[in-house]
Amino acid sequence: MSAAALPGTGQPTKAASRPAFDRALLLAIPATLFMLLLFVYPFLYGLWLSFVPAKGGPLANYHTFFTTSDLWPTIGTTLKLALPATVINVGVALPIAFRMRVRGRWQRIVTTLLVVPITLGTVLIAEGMLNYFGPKGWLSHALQLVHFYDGPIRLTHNYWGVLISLVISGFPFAFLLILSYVTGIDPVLARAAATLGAGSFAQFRHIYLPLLAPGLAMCFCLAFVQAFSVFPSAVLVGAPAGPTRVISIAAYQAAFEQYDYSLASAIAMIMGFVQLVIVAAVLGLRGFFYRGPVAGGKG
Amino acid sequence: MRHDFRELKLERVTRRFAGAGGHAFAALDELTMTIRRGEFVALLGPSGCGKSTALNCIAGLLSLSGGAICLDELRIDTLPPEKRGFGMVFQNYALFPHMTVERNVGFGLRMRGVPAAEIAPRVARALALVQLGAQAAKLPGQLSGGQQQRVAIARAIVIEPPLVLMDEPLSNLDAKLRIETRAEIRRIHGELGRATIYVTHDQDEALSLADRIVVMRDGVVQQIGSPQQIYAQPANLHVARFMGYRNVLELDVAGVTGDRVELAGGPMRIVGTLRQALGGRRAAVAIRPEELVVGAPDIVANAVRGRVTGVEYGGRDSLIEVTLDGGVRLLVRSDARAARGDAIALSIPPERALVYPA
Amino acid sequence: MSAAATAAQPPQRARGSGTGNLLDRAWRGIVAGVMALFVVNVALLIAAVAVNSVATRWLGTWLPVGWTLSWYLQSWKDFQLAGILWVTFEVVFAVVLLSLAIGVPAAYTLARRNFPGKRALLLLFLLPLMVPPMTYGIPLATVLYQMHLAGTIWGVILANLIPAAPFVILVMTPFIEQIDPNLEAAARVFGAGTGRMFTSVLVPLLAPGILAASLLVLVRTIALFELTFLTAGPDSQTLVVALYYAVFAAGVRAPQSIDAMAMIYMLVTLVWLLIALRFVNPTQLVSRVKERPVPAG
Repeated sequence: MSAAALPGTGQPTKAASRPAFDRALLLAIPATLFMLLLFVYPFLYGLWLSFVPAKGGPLANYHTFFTTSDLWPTIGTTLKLALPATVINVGVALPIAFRMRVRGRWQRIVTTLLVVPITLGTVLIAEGMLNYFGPKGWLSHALQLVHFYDGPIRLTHNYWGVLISLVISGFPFAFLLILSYVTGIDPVLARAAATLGAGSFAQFRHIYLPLLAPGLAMCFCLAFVQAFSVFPSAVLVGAPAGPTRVISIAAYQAAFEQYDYSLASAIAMIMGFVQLVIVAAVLGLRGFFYRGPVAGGKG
Repeated sequence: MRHDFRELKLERVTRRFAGAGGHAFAALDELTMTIRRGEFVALLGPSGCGKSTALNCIAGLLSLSGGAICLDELRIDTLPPEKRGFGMVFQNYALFPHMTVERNVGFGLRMRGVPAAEIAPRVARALALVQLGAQAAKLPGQLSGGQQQRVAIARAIVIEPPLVLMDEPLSNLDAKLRIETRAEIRRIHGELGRATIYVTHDQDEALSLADRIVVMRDGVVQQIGSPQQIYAQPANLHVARFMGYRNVLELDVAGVTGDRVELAGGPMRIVGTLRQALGGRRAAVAIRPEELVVGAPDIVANAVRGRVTGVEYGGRDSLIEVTLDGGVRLLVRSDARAARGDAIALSIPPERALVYPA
Repeated sequence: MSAAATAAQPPQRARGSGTGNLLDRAWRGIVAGVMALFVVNVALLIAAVAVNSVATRWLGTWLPVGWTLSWYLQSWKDFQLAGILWVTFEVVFAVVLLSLAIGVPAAYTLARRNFPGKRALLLLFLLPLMVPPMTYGIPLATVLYQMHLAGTIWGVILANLIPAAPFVILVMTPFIEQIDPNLEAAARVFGAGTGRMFTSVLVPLLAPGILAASLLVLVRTIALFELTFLTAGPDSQTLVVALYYAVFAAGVRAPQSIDAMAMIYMLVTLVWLLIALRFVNPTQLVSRVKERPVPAG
């Protein structure tokens, strides 16, 4: 196998002449400039702004956040929603995606169906939940009919509403992501394991799980940050004044109701920081439990 | 898990797949054969002939649509692959990328609950057998293709299976490595004496490795025999063509006497040896390029004349293309000197001109 | 050489693992059950919205008392849906075109060239997809206000472009990598200049990828809530933001009217989703971030 460019391996060719080399690099400039201007710069600006409050020293915003009784608990509230939702989403999606790894009619049908809640988005799901999961909705009627529950159910305008909505919008995402990781593992490895005496569960435990570990960690992080920044469902099917007052609501109110952009930026920074901490923890935990190559196969 | 057995029997094994247009096609059609202990059997044939399907059925990776597979008296086609205890070597090695060579090779032993103290020496012995003892701690990604294939072989034999299955193990290697690893496989088989079923489309591999060759085509067995038999006495035209009988002439049958057939085509008269019962007025005669004799004017039988229209130099000999008067083209492999445009006389030994129904 | 004769004693039938099969079947049942539960509940949830939108009145009974289509007309007028749909259309198509314009060339560079800082650039492009919009949306809105773009349609377009352009890059880069680089070399050898090479070789090969990327960006942008919410003004709202406000101020309008609007939103989204699914795999909507498939050793 020569070192020259092999299609599909992503190894770029070495440029032959100088002008072509420079020109190709120029192509990336608009996108780079755009990202720097509209993503990096606002972030840096926000970071700076959070240290220049309307009154007080540089850390005044952060001090305000951690001393105001309706601000600092938002971290805990949001974590109480995001962590269980992510654990449920990833934990349930893994065995199901693994079961569906065989390419076929069922896989196609299920993936198409699951793409629908993702496409529709959280706002529509929230509106639907208010009806269906509400005290006078079909679910309530059905559960009362089979005497599973007495009286109307309380699954909206509270913690459970937001949790359910996080599962409805987060589970398909986790499922599709994990499915793409699982199908990326060559099935011949499982067949080889079978000829060596590994049954279904042993194949999962010794072959698939170690190879999936990096992807699972990634999926957990992505699902978590999505859940942590929940906003419309927390307002529409939650109780934004109290039990589901998530950190994004606090940031929004600071910016658009109190017009305190400095505080809002500080809250946004705190939000990003907490997400970073959890992500780092998950990736660190993954490294602790699984000492193997991150990308398997020929390097 | 049986470590020894007398014979593996495939009885009318059939495997159907859903084909295009909805109706099923049989990748294997009533395949019947017996493999004895210690034998090296090659399944040989072009792509799509069903040889890999047969191997996967024996391994348990595919279920049967009909027939049975029996290991001595035990019927095994209802067992899942993890219970059959055969070792298998795959075309693309299928080494577990997240395990070291040592753990890859020891995997089968771990799955069978062999105590750890016993695993280490057995793995070391298997790695020594394939001469990779020094790479035990490496990951598959750090090895070359040939080394990976040898690890795959070690992994298959360390569990001491009654039967080793090999699915075109050499096709992903380059030519030089292929010949080297082929020799390795022959040596290992000689040392261990385990029954092996080897799937390949390369007749050189089959001829050099196998005790018996099963030539397949479209799911049906064409011929089972020793390499010598397959090479010199192909049972039908498909096998002949596949085994390198590159000269195939379709002629009219002029007469049959015992096992000699006289064929005529234009001014040409050829006497050949009957290999398969003829069906009608036409027959095909197959001749190896190596078995056409250049010159030899004293052999009157099967003498033809023509012009040299192409020469492919091959070092030891050349492949000479000869166009006979009448337009028929023959390929001759000979060390005779010939140049384009030369007039040339060829003769065909009648016992090496094999006649089949057209 | 066929041993067609049956053995003297009938061959033993191998004992299959009874308990193993049972466990396997039970597990398959559980998996199917969970999936069915999820799909059915989401379907019913959507159906509830649909039923309500054609109901005259529905107050806690199994089905509404009467049926009517008049709510659609009502909500069209009440929420000024004509204007909102037009704004949505403008924003979405502008985002698709602009994200392609800056994303495809960048993808080409990433796919074909190695250069110092490539990994940093890749990270820069991936971050907006990994960081949720709400986190960077607030600082972004602040900056847009400074630039006097917030509240205008261009502010909304720029905001939505931030996740869209990286998404195009993410979809197109492996696509371009798959195209044999030797094809470009072959074109040059046979006399094509860079311009001709682009138009005759690259663009036709890239067309399916570009189509896929545009449809995916389109579907994602229609449903993208947070960024538009934070940067839009009263006359630059997209449909999903208008829907949010309608649900939020739920006391003001009849729930049937809101649900009719929700149905219109759903229709628009699903129509484009169906179109997109003809050309792309559903999993591409979610799009793997970075990980390459694990090849067998």
